[in-house]
Amino acid sequence: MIRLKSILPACLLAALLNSAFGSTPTAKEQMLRTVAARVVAPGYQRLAMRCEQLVEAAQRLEERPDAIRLKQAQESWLEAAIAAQELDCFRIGPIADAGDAATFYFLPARPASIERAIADSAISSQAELKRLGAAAKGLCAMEYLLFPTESANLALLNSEATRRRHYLTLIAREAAATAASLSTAWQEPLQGSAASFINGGQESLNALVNQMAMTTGSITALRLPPLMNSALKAESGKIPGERSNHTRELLLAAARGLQRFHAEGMGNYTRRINAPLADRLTKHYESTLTSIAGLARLPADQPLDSRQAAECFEYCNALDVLFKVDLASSLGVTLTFISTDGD
Amino acid sequence: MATEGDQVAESSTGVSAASLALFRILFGLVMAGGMIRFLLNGWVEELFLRPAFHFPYPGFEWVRPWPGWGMHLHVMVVAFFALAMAAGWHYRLASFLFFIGFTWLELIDQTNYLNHYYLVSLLAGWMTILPAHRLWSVDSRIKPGVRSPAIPRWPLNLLRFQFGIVYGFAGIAKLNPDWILHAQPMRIWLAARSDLPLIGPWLDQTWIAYAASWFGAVYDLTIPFFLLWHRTNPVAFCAVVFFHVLTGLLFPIGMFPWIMTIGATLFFAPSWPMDLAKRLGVRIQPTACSSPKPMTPLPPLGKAMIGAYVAAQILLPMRCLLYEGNTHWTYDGFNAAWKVMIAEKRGHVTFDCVDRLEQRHWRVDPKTLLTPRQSVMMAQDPYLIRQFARHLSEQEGGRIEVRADAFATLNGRPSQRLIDRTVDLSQPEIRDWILPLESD
Repeated sequence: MIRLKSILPACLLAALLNSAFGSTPTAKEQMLRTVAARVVAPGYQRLAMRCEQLVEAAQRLEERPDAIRLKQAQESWLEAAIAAQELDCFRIGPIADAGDAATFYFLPARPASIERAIADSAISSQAELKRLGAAAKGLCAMEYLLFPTESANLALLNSEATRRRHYLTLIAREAAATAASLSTAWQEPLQGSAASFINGGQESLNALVNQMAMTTGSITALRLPPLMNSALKAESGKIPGERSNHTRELLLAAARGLQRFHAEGMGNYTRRINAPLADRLTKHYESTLTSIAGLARLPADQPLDSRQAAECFEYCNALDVLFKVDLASSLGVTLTFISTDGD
Repeated sequence: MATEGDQVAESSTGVSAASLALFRILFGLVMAGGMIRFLLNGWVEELFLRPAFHFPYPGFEWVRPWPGWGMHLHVMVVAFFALAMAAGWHYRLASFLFFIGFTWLELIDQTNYLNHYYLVSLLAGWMTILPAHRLWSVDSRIKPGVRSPAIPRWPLNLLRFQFGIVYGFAGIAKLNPDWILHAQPMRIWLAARSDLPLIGPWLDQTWIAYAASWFGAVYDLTIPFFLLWHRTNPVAFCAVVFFHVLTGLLFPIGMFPWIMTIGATLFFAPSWPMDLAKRLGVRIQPTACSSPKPMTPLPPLGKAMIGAYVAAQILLPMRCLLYEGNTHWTYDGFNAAWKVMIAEKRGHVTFDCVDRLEQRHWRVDPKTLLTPRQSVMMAQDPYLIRQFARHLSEQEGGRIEVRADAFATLNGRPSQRLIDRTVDLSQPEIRDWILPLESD
């Protein structure tokens, strides 16, 4: 009886606390909900739509190959690639679980794998395409096919390139199907991937910040240095080995994607914990995007201004530090990244 | 009515050996559990085998991980010695080998430093000397000369002092503007745990962070005294259990709550295990026929050694007063000073290497050469950054210049440069290379 007497008030207190806070989502949960609803779901919807447009353009090109349709297909590819880049910092959830990230982010193109797949006439349906590795399909392979080098000029338009054009349609369809299934997975906020993401709490936030930091890191360590080198040599903004000449637009899309996560949810949550940092991030995103947009506006064949490229690198580097140091620390990501003990 | 333990305690033959013996058993078991956990979590791989480079302590460069399965075997053997210590089987030898084995693990890499690992080494070192095997040990069963229900008072006092020092300096370290005025880093850490069931929503509240910070400081500063006073001792022990259960649930601090809770039992009356057993109706050793031995006084050399140790334990954490600036930022005198869970520091560093002879310049991302854990730990400690810079230079025959592009943030402040980017860290003598914390 004595035990019951001591347990009862504790249970009552727990119930009171739960009723006071239980129904209201925490600020973190609210942030994750907003991010899922306002950034991730529309982002995948956009990607699915762009990929569907790419399929249509590829089909039109397959039916009647000409320069105009090739141009349309190239533009559709760019739109799809931009939509994918805007979600580059969100390779978590079903895209990671199902191993679909390579469809949109595999780099660099492996011509041998792609040519081998084209030469294999047995690969004529979606089912057979599944056997192939990431190197032979996805947006990267489509870029290889749609933007041929001068030596293989207009290969897609050659009359004997029927198989090549068909293969493009096949892999475009597969990418569209992947994008559509990802979009479906994120449309319903109360179930499936979105629900797991929202209910994941700090674990989801850790994964998100980690992914965003990986994107800022890849911008400064991998994607900007070739542009910097080109600028130092007063060369054009075309990167050796890159076929579509859209590196800078895609870089801008990746940065814009990062900013979207901040503007549409994470910013408010960050402000709650560290208001000056949230303001710094807002301002810094603007400067960084302006700086990358300045580079992206230049025609591909025009030499890059080394000072402009260096300034862009400084902005991106500072954004990387803001992410990996300030944001990760303020959102409590530091300790949870370490799998061992601390004190 | 005086208890059996009280009779021993009140006699001129010392105090009951029960409390210290139980501490030995519990400490040994927790250490064995800790070592097994180390193996099961794959930390032998992560901390000792995966790193291609280790950050040795100055003067201990010779302490290296064993090759192959050696480290796994080492940890297993340390666990065995911990169990032997708990059982009191060849107690002194087992304690000594546990002390050596555990400390060896800690000396391999500075990035593995934890305050509670340091505490374990200190406690294990003392266990080799303290008579914790007089009761409830294999040694006391097979060697009648070892068995005694009483021990001198100084071993208990020494361990109480050790735990008191941990609490005391941890409390003093909390008396800083970040902790008291801004509730940092508690605000960051608690908000990160706001999705815990039931208490989670509370952790998001700013006032909770302030309350937790202030309570933590008051707790650390006062708990040794409340534990020492027999009137408040039971309540203080409950507070210890509550505090450590809570911190154990909230933060990944491993064995620390267990060690501190076990340590708090030393503040009870020395005979408390027997008194408790008697209340519960359980009959345990020592029996009435166990005769206490007369206590020989501590020799002058022993007194001097203990005095020196006590002085060192007081002075070592205070060495941070000799340095300028915020030691949480500079890491001057930070370790071995019981600055437990006091700072949320996060850094990011890349190294710029220049080979003047070959006109070469390249950038090194430490993540390509270190484990993620090492990178995180190094990036917040300027001395580790310098150590790694010197390693990079040595890799190139010592002819390259290495500068660090290092940023860090402390307790939610805006990030700023940690190290002067113009200083060549590969040089043996450098000055003013750690930049002061601007917003302090």
